[in-house]
Amino acid sequence: MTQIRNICILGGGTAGWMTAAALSNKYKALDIKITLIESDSIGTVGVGEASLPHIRFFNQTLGIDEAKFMKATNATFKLGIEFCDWGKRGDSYIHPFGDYGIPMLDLDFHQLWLRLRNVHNLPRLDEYSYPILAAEQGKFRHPGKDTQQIGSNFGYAYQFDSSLYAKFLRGYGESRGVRRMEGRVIETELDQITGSVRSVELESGQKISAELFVDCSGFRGVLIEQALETGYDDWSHWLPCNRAFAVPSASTEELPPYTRATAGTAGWRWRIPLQHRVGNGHVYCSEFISDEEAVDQLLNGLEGEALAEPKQLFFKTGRRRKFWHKNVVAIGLSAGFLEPLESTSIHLIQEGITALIELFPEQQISAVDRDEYNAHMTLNFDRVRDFLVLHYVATQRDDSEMWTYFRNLELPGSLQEKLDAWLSRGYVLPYEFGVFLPPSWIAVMLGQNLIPRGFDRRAEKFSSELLLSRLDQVRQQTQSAVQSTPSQSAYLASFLTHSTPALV
Amino acid sequence: MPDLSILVLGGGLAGHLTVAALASQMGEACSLVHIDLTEPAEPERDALYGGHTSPQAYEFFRRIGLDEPALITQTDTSFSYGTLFEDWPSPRRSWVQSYHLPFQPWQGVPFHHYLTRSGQTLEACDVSAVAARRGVFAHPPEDARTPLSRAEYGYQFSAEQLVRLLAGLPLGETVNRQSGALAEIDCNGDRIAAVQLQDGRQFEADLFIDCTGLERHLSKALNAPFEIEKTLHASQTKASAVRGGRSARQVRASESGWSAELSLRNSVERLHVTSDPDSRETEPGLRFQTGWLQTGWTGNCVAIGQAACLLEPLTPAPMILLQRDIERMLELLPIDLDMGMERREYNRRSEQDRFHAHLFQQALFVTDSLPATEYWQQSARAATGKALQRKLDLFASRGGLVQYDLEPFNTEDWTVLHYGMGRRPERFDPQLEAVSVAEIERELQRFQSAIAQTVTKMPPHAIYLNKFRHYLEKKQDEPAQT
Repeated sequence: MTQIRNICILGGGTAGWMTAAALSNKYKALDIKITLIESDSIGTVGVGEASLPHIRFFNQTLGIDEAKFMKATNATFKLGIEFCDWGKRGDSYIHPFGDYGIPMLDLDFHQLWLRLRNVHNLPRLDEYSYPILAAEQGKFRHPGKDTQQIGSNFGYAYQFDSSLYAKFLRGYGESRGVRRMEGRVIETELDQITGSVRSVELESGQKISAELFVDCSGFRGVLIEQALETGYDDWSHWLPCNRAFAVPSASTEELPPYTRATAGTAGWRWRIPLQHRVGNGHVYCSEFISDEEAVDQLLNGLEGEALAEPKQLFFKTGRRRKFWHKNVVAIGLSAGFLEPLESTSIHLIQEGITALIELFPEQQISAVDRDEYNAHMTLNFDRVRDFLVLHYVATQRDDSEMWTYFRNLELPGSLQEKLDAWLSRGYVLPYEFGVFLPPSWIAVMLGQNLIPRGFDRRAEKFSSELLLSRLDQVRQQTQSAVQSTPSQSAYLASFLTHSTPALV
Repeated sequence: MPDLSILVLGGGLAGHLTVAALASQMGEACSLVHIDLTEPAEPERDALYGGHTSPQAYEFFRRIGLDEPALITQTDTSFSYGTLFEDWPSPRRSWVQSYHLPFQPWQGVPFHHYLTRSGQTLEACDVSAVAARRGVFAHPPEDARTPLSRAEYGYQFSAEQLVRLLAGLPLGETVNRQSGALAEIDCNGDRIAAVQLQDGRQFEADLFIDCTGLERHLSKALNAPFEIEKTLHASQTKASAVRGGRSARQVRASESGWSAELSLRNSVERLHVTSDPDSRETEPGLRFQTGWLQTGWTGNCVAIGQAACLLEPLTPAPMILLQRDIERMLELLPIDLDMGMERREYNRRSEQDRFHAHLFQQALFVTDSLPATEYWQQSARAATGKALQRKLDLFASRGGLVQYDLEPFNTEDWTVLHYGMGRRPERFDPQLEAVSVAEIERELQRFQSAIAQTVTKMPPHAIYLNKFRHYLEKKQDEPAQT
């Protein structure tokens, strides 16, 4: 075997440093040099500061202590996302990280609920979800051990400052031998025969050669696009938002354990509460609103005082035709951009890193590895796309040009099938590989008022008295579990003070 | 939601399992007629399900009211760690296609990379394979410290006995059980309206379930297209028990096909499958075509088991598909008479399941050293396609395992199969470069001796089975504790 000896990571944002940290940890025993090039003069895009539960696994694999990570990144706990004004104006619901209820009578819990709501006045499905009720009341504690129990069968993630996370991981990577170089790439040298990238040249004249390049240079895709012209699948017709303003604001007193995404007339606004400030942003489509109005809407919606000038971002939703082309793997925004409505940006970075490690090449890069990587990442991006589009089309809104646009949109076939099956009988088309599993689909579809016409026939086997008593029991257990849960502020303060950080 | 009346046509394994599942899952929430056809049927038909289940059957059987004690005490069902392939496909190649739970990664590196690095084979590290070779058996204990806790098991069963047991299940008032000879099927466009028996009785229903196996009576009436894969011949023989029967099913390759042997409690059942040249016309047994319906659900008719897809029983695939058909049908019982959504989704999933199960069996024919006879050459020609190639290529290149959504055979099944067929990855995980071969050999040695020790203490399968049976019988005789 001829092992890769030199890896060059271009770009030092969240994607770059997550990649550097993961590779330096995985291959610490091997003679592989990792060089990361970043330039202080190029700003990084904080790609959404909210994450999905999977990031805990990433940190654990790196041996990162949770409290230490949370302190370093001003993180708060996250139980889900609150969506406001999506189904109709004035609506709100929480998409939690976890199933509703507990598995009962061999049937999905929501089917029992659907069956019973025809004959009884039932509370909303949310009343049977521990993470939703806890989030609504601003509470948090870690899940218990027995995952079959209410109050234990949920996941959680974090809301954190991604530039601090990158900094934190930089320390981690550098202490494991990652060499950081300051500078801008001005030239890329390609191999005349293979067309692969041989080296990159910095302003200083320094040349960095490697056998494998990871392009974390953001939207521009310095290697994957500017040098290799890989091509981009434009998804603007499905996800037309193409600009954003971001601004931090002062914390208000509460520390909600959830992110908020509020739909507007030409996009949506996020609110991400960190320990020390609140991250805010407005993602919008420039065809439907002017920049001035977009920034006004953002500033008018702030709950605390703005702490900086709003920063504007430009993007085009879609994904690279090949995530791995020649000897360049694109991870992060260079791989594709999907609006951070469901906090998937960091997750897709993580997915890319995991797949790269699983398919880590030799010097002679095998087409088999590359094709497999591309197939895997394509599926992941496509499935996230469907889930994001769902938010815009599962709606009764028609109060602006944007909502009319979505009303007339022809959906990806995979999404249309999913919607039809749900509306017919509360059935969620299952798949195994993809980040959003049935409970997530249920949360958004029910939350945006898509009420199925029917339900699983097997639920008819049970008498409504039996079902009612079971459901009541679950509801009471959920309530009492939430009652004994502390507020996130209290819990977090105690957690950060008392836990002893492990050495990283 | 309108009431749903269901008619299940056909007895046999598919018909009886379907009815038992419907009765236990639906109770009185639907009206159910079961017509067991009295036409004479060759015993080979149900034997083509293979008489062999994967571990998935345990839970499925339990849910329909057929728990392990019933199987063990009321039939000759025995245990199985998997399939012992012999001479497959060339003389002396042999492996146990076991049901072992996924091997745990060592230091974050998938287990089989250590084997690649040190040039070793898988079998000595697989406790269920070692036990199957020695013909011993014990239930996997819960204590995770013993290697046996990672073993899983399925059953070897006699289809005939299992059908008898199923037919005797108390299903209560909910099932209207009938039997008779089929006269005619009345269709109305792409729908079945009624089934008529020769005694003149006529049965109508909203949903018809075709469990008529190779005959596919209902699907044929609707002109549902069937894709033929191979034409084969099967014959079954039985012999009385041989002491120390195997704790695995055995499949042995021959020039013209293969034969399988089930070690049941009191008997041995053999199934011979060969290609079907004309000269065999006169032989006893059954001529059959493997293949599948293009859509398992047509109009208002769902085909289950062999009626939908017939794969030769080289692996537990036929039983896995039968189980999945039934579960999928239950999950998608139509909520209205249009059935459009349910049909589309049922067909999407059944095609996917069939395709993936078939992939696994096709992989048994990808090798250079196949006999030049019709059976082997025909099978090898059919073993192509991108999805299969992707799996083979990634494994050959680096021991990687491509996974598709919700496959019936998991990554461990595929690893065992690849190793069994003699495939070895070209590369191992780069992290192992930093570990010396001597060190890996020491670790593997330790792992293997723990397995060898465990297996030495295990009783022969036949003795274990009989003791377990006596224990269950004694327990049943004891008056219930109050």
